Amino acid sequence: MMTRLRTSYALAMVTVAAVLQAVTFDQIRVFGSRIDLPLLLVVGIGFVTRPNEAAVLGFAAGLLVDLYQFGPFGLHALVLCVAAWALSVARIRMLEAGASFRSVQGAGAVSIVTALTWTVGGIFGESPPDGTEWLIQLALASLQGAVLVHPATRIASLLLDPEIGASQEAVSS
Amino acid sequence: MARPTVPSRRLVVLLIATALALMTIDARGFGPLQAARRVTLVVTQPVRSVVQWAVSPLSDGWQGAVHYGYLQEENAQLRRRVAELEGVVERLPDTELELQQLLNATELDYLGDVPRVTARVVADRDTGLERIVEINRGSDDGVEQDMPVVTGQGLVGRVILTTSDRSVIRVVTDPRFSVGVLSAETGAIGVATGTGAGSAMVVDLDANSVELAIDGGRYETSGFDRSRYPGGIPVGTLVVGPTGDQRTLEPAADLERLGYITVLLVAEPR
Repeated sequence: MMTRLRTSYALAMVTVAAVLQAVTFDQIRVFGSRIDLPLLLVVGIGFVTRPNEAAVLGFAAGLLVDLYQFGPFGLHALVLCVAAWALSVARIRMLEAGASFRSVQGAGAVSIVTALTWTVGGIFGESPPDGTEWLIQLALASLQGAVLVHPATRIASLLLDPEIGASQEAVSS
Repeated sequence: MARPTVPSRRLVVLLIATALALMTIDARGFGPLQAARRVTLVVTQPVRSVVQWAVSPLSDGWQGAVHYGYLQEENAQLRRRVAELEGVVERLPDTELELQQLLNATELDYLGDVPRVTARVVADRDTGLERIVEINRGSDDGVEQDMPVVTGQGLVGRVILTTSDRSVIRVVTDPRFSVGVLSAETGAIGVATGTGAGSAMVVDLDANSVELAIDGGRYETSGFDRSRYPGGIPVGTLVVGPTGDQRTLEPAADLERLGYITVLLVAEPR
């Protein structure tokens, strides 16, 4: 189980990420794309924690992001919770091959979660990119994942002190 | 003794249900969620100000590098404009009189005597799903939720959230934004709705107004009974698609680079 200290670290980490995102990274765009700090962090958390912890932390991170945005409240909580849990489960079941594939995993994870956010956001009346813009933004999100998920995972790993081996039983349940 | 672990699938289903419940009650305009957002903005305001101050050189440098071409072009345009105005001033037979005329020409006639407050844009965020514009005026300055926001060119959006010294604006291109419009030239009426950042607004014209739709026609707020917006604020220019069925409005206000905006201090009709 996650200790209180680790929970505090994790919550502090996602809070800082959400604030930095709102203050800085939402205002800096490259070819219309931006660095998504909470998403990268949640992907990192998914890679180093057990499914239960990943789901709760993803949900908490999503709620914080929702507080700083004005779309449907709960949209990011839903997407990031599912994403963190699915990544954690996938890592344990299939991706235990090691960190050498982390960039590939990161690219895939970030682009899938981004597409999922757009899809759910579109259903709830938001305006995600479409057409060619959709492909470009997804490619940039994928690139972001390939480059930045590894350091995000390291940070999450350092702070959360994972017990990866113990997570098998949580998945099997 | 170790505590029993909640099966992860059950936990995820529970969290998904919670998120969906939150989205549903938010869609119904549940007040406490808006209050939570307001509290978040207020509580983290000092931290956000410090971080914004600390990173602004980096951010400004980046924006300058990215928009270098735009800035060069803008600089050239300004130089040309200054040269034109210098020429105009030199030709004036009666400088003071002509200067007054120039000032009158730049007054925002469409606003009339509507009370207003001018604000500076302090944050302009794009989350990938929506654009969030934050200004440095709030309830202490008389700004309230749903008040219209304009520039000299036309309608920018409306206020969706206020704190004592800040407000958040929803721009006209947001899909959740709609406004009744009227063509002063032809009398055509309809409703314009946003379709997303960087896109034109879609116009749904009244059945009797379809024949009156002219490509290039200017539309303004209708100001009809119970409208949120006073009449006569420029909204955009009509673009009729090749088949004639698709009608969009190119926003009158330049939404790309918002520096200062004006909030009209008019209460929503009840």
